[in-house]
Amino acid sequence: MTASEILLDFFKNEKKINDIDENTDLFREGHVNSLFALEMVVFLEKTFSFKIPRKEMKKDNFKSVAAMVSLVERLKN
Amino acid sequence: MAKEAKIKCLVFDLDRTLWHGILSEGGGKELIEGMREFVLELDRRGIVMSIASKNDENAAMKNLRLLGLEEYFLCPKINWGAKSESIKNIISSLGIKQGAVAFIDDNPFERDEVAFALPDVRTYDALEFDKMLEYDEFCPVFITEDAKNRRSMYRADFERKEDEAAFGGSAEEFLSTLGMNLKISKVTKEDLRRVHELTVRTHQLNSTGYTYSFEELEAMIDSPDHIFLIASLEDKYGDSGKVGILLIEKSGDTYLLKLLIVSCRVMSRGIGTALLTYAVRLAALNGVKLLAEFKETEHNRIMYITYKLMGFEEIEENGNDILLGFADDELPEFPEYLRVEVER
Repeated sequence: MTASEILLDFFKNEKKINDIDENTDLFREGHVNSLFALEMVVFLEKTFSFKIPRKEMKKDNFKSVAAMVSLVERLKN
Repeated sequence: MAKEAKIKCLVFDLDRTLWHGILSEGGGKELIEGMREFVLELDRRGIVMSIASKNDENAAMKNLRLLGLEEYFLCPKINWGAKSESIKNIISSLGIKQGAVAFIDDNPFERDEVAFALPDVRTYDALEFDKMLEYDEFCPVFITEDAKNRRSMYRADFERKEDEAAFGGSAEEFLSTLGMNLKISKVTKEDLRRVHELTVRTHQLNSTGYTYSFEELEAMIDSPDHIFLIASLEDKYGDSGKVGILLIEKSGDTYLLKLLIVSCRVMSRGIGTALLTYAVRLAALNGVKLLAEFKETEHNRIMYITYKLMGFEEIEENGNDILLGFADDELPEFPEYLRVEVER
């Protein structure tokens, strides 16, 4: 599976967000509270085996699946 | 993991600890002398109680009912498995950290088994019970209204959790079924004990971990240089009580957020996000910059992520001490599932 498929699967099946695609703005849709944000971060770190550094911990990197995919690609390299 | 200063939950054995004799051998008719008073006093202090007993569950629960103590014990685990497993289950149901849990049993084997598997759980011999109320770890600094209601709040939490587990939609959709009302008001003298309790009890949803003396807290109520707010939460399951604190220091064109605390009991309900949203909007309304102190610990990463994902950025970093500033072009909105009421 690609990073995008893994993340969409997580949001659909684990977080039960049905109407989501790569570009859905998670913040605008009101999904993000503290615990959700933590789960998202922990999921990314576990799945792709990296630790997100402080400077990458920002809203723009998490606002959509597409943004998270590019974060994953950046941190993997 | 480590032992915490204060015990939040005491887990009881039954046979020869709570009552005389062994239930399956015809015992259990009478409580140990002084035990009822012990249980009632722990309840008054806001220390919740549970059970880990090797017994027949139906018989043991029936006996507790006959003795009039059933209602005091949350999520009792009565089975033939290892007591450490029972306590693990209790810990995860209550959402209390291992280091704030204690276990009392007359049998040294059971105490050792628990201490071995769960090293941060403190164990006590049943013979000690009449001295335990004086032990420091069983003496909360203050006993607040919220402490006295703690047992019923935990019960409401179970009901909410059961409904959530059965709910098919997203967390946000579930939250919107709760009818949550968050009331933000100025801290008053009557709130100070609860404020103090939250500052010492909260580790995860705590931005700095600062603690203040009673006098310092009291001085900030009337201080023109501070905005000192407390939030209470209600939903269709009941009143969760005072669950959040926001402390802002004013200076010139800046608001400095010294403390943001949300009770872990209401974690995952958007309260931290809502309080931070309130602070951001309040600063914007008054045309000042919003800065926030943050002290990174092993436990509070969730709070760091909350700030960062709301649009705060690092201004200064000094080891674990971080100064953040709100840097987003857009103001955050309150979550739709929450009604926010501000009392001035």
